Amino acid sequence: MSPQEEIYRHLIYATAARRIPVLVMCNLTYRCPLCCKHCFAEDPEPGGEELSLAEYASLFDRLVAMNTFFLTFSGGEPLARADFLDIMAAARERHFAVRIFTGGSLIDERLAAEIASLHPSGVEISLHAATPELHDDFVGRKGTWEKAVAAARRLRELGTSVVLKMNLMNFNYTEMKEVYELSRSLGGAFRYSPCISVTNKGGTAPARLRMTDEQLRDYFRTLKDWVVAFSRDGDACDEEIGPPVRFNKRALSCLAGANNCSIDPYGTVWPCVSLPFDLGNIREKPFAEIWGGEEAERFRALSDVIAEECANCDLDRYCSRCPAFSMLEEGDIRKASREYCRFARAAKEVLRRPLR
Amino acid sequence: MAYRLKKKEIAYRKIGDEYFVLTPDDNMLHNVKGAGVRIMELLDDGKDEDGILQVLLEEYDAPAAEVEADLASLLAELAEKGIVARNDG
Repeated sequence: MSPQEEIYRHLIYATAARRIPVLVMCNLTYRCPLCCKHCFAEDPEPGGEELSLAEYASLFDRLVAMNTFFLTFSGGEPLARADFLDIMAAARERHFAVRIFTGGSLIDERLAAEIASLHPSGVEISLHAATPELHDDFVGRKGTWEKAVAAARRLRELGTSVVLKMNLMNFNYTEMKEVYELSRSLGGAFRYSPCISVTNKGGTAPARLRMTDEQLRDYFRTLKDWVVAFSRDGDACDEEIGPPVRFNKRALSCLAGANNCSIDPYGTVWPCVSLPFDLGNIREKPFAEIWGGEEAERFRALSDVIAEECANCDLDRYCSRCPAFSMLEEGDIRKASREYCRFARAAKEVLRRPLR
Repeated sequence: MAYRLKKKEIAYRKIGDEYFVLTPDDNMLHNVKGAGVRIMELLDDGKDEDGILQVLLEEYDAPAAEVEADLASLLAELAEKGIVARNDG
């Protein structure tokens, strides 16, 4: 384990053990100029009143008091908010490490400079293909690929850390290597995920984009080759290779609600952006009361229960198990997710042993 | 020489008895422990090197030269990590 991984791991474990909400994702808006076909975000309160700048500033003060360190601004498209830079400045004044999740299409030269001047810890830009037409068709707007890549290039020139992020689906997974090469040529990092969730309201349209079983095996074969190549070249491997690290082995679960959570544009706190457990609303009570409240404890008790099917499964070494998939698709956070079972079966068949 | 915490550039938080600092230029996460924690606190309060030294001399029962040398060493270490910069730099 590298010294960096050790520090991150120490921070993650220490905060989880002490129930410190070290990472908070703020979905600033559900508005977005793009119409990505896999989008999970269905607005739970269309036309609702988004949290104001003043409300965010007040929230940030409360989060500082609770030792939150990482803030992620996502959406929708967070940059669709006219006051985005003010919100980000308010966060940076309080010394949060701020990451931005964006489609990149709204970042012109001026906005790139403004963002860079606020020193985010990173800007993560979704890019779902190396072929511009494929990406543009997927997100529903012509010219988006060019804008996203130009934004990534400009931000890198200004010294901002950039990640190109790709969801691997049945129509684009074969372009993974090309997007990776593009990210490297821009001086950025690359992250990808084969996990396509249904929407946060359970809408199943995105599931039609999932890779087939054969495509999944092909994907794992590519990963295997990559890992061998990385090992041989001694190259730093900053990509997520294979299933993410599983922090909570006892419960085969993640740390949602333990040291991180998500806050929607209307102030409702969720254990994770994809987990439909309403923990409370910051317009009705302070964040600390929500975080330490009955609903949050009820969720933690649920997520700490070992899923019987998973606890006794011989695929567990290949599975990162996402409770949100279990909740949204199986109706029970404790059940096995058939989609994750499918990943694990394909991984075991191809890899023979876990990549990490 | 005078050092300042690079407040505008870095992200930092004291969690428990250590500081976690993210330096965006290289995207590295650092943790500052031990005597460095007190120095981070004093830098965060806006104290310069002389001001920090005065406080440390009051708080620690150690020879002044030793405290001064330790402080210089810790500041140099923080500067190398990109957490502090010289005022003129």
